[in-house]
Amino acid sequence: MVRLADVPEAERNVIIGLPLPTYDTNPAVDGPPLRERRVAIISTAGLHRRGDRPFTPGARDYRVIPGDTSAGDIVMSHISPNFDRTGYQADVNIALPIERLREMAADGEIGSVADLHYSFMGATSPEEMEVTAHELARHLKADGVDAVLLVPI
Amino acid sequence: MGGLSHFLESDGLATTQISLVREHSETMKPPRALWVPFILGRPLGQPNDPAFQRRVLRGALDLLERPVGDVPILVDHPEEADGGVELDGLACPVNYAPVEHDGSLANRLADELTALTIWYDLGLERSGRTAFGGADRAIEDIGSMLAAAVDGVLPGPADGLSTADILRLAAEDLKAWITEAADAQPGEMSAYALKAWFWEQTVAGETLLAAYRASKISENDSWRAQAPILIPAELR
Repeated sequence: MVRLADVPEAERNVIIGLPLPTYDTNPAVDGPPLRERRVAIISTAGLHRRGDRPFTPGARDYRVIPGDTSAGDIVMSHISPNFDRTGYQADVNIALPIERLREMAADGEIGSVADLHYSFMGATSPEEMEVTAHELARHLKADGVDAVLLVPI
Repeated sequence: MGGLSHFLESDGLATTQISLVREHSETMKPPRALWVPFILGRPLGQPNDPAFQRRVLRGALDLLERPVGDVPILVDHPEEADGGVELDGLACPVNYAPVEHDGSLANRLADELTALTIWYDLGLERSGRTAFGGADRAIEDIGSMLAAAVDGVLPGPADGLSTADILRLAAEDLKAWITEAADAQPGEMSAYALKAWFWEQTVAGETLLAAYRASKISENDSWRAQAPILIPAELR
């Protein structure tokens, strides 16, 4: 609900001190200019279409959100008292900025917007997302995506 | 996020990301990250402000144009968002007529939901969307379910969801419904003020706190373990 800097010290230390993996390599892929790229969003807000199976604690799977899903059909089942939901309630773009990407594509700032976007539930540890992340990479490439925007919650 | 970017880049997909916890990005070193000084839950900063959101997006996406030899790149977004600013002395504009009664918690919650229904409906009509619905139940049923949980009467598992899952989703739906109703009323509230209002002044907040306290002696292990995440840490 608050900025990390404003979180009580004990809670802040829990968040900052979460066990995170580190890697020996830093793979980074080059690509065409931004104005030619096809962009997809991966959110870790636990978003999905209304009626989809909700996320449960520790979920390592993902949900697919077609780009033409109306804002009213998107719900969030990532539940935590640590983050604000009212911004998302007021405007889904605060967590899933598909409309903003469309505007940027229309204005020529990016090439295009992917047909499909994805959401994980952020409370899941990175290691547990590995298998599904590799699976997702195949789907993204099949959609012609060459730029992925990762959006936390 | 850092793990996802590592796996995707390993598979040949370029990534960039928004970072809300700078320390995590410093540790995991994703190739491209824009740290934003916003409250948790608002990675794009400011709701209903397309120009603001586009500046954030541009900041993150422009990192894709930097030479790959520069990675890992961690850049700070220069702009604060209004939602993160505490508004000292803000008068709470949410005001619904209290219903006189001496009833149970369940009845008082039902009264509150009835009183706020016109505002929730108005908000839905205006915005065309609602975050309510994760539990896939009517708000009246959600109120009854959570009030019953205060008395130790818990719903059984259903549709592949455990008792704790059902109660968590119901609690989050109750919060969403109430705050959307409040948001439809005249006036502006910061996210902080809305949070304080929910937990300190609504029967819904009182119900969730009571359900949490009741969960401590519940025989349902999973509910006892999960109930605390419904409540802000400072109120547990």
